[in-house]
Amino acid sequence: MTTRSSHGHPQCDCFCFIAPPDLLARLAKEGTPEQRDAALQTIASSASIRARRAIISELLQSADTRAAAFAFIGVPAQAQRAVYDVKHGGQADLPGQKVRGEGDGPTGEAGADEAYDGAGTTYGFYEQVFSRNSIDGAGMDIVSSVHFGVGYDNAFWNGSQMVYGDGSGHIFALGHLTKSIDVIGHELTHGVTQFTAGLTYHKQSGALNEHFSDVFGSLIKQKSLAQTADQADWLIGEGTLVPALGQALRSMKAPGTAFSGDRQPAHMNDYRDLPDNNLPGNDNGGVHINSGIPNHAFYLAATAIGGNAWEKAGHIWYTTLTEKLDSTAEFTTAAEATVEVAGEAYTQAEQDAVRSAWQQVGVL
Amino acid sequence: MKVSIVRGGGLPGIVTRTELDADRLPPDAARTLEELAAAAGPLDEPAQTASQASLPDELQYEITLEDDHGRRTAQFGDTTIPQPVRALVEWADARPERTMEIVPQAGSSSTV
Repeated sequence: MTTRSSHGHPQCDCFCFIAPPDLLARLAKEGTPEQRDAALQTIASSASIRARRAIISELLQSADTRAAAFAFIGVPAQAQRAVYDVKHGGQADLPGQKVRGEGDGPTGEAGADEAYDGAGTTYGFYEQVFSRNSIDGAGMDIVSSVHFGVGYDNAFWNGSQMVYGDGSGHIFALGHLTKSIDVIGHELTHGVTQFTAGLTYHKQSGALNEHFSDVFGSLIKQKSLAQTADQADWLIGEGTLVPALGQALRSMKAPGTAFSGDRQPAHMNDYRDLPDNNLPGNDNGGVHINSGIPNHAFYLAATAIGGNAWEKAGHIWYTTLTEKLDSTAEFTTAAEATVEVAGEAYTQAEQDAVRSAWQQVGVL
Repeated sequence: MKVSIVRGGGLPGIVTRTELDADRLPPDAARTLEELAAAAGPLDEPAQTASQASLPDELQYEITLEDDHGRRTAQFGDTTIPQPVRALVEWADARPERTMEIVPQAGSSSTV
C-alpha cells in the first residue's frame, strides 16, 4: 500500500504512506490474501507506535483475526510512560497537559521528571523481578499527573493513573511526594492489585491492599539501593513529611513509630476496628492503620529468610497477590496463602519463617 | 459563617481538621467566603452511597458550613468533590486566619 512520493518532488525517493489507517485496518480484515499481507506490512512499518497499537487493538477485536497473525509485527512490549501537568486542577481536569512522553528527554521540572523516572524504575522492577509487563501485566501505559490541586498533601491511584500533589509544607514537604520511590511504587502497586486480587478498599481487605502497596513500594526502594533485608530501613515515605512531623509515613519494622501521631498496630491485639463509612477519620475502616500488622509480618519473614527481600519473600507475596487472593480476602486468608506458597516454591525453612512471622503478629 | 474541613483516608493515614471563621476575616474576604459557600451550594452529596469504597489513597473530605441559616455537612472523595466545593477548600486553606490541626486517630490517648 506504499507508493513513491508524487508530491511534486521527482527527486524524492521517500516512501509516503497515503493509505489512511482505517482503510489499512479494513483491508487487513476483509481484503484478499494479498491485500491483507500488504496492509499488515504497512501497519508494521508505521512510524507511529500509537497508530500501530490502535489498529492492532481494533483488529484483535474482530472475531476471525488471530493474535498470532501479528506476531511478526513486534508491537513493543514495553509500556509507554506519560507524564501530565494538571496545573492545580482537580479530578475533572485529569490527566492535564502532557509534558513528557516515553523516550522524551527531561523537562527540567523536578516533579514531572521524578514521576517519569519513578514510573520507569517501578516498571523495571516488576519486569525484572516478576516478569510482569506493567500494571496490568499486558504493557498498559503508565500515566502520571503532577501538581494536582493546590497545596495538596497526598498522592493517589484513581483507577487508571497516578496523581501527585505538591504538598502544602504543613504535612508533606513541598515537592517531596514524587521524590520518594517507595511512594511511587506504592501508588503503582494499587494498580497491580486492581488488575489481580482486586482487594476491596475497606476493612481487612483494604488493609491488605495498603499492605501490598507498602511491600512492593519498599522492595522497589530496597532493590534500587541494593540493600538486603537487614540493611533496609523498612520505612515508607522517608523524608516526605515536614521534619517537625516525623521521619516517615510508616515503619514496617516498628509500626507506630514513623511520625508523631502514628498509631499503627504491630499485632492483632491492637487491631483498630474502625467503622467503614465515608467519615475521613475512619479511613475506610482503618486501611492505612491496620496495614501495620501484615507489614510487620512481611518484615519478620523477610529478615528471617535473609538476603534480598525481593527474592524469596517478595516472590511469595507476589504469587499470593496475583494468584491466590480474591477481593474479599482477610488477614488470615492472606497469611495462609503465603504459607502455602512458601511451601510450594521453597523449602521448609522459608515456610516456617513465613508461618512464624504471622504467628508473631497474632494472625495465625 | 464558619467552614470546617476534615480530611483523611489519604496516603499517610493522617486526619486533619481545618477551620475558618468569617469573624476573623477582613470584610472583603468574609464576603468572598460567603460567595464561595453559596457557590458550593447545598452540599448535595454525589450519588455514591456510604458503603461505596473510595479509590486507593484518595482523600476523603467532610465539609461543614455553619451560618445563621443553620448547619449543613457532606462527605466527598477527591474523585467526587464538586469543583466549587474544592475551590472553597483551597481558598480556605490559603487564608492565614484558618486553623489546621492534626486529629488524633479515634480512640487514641495521645495528643499531637
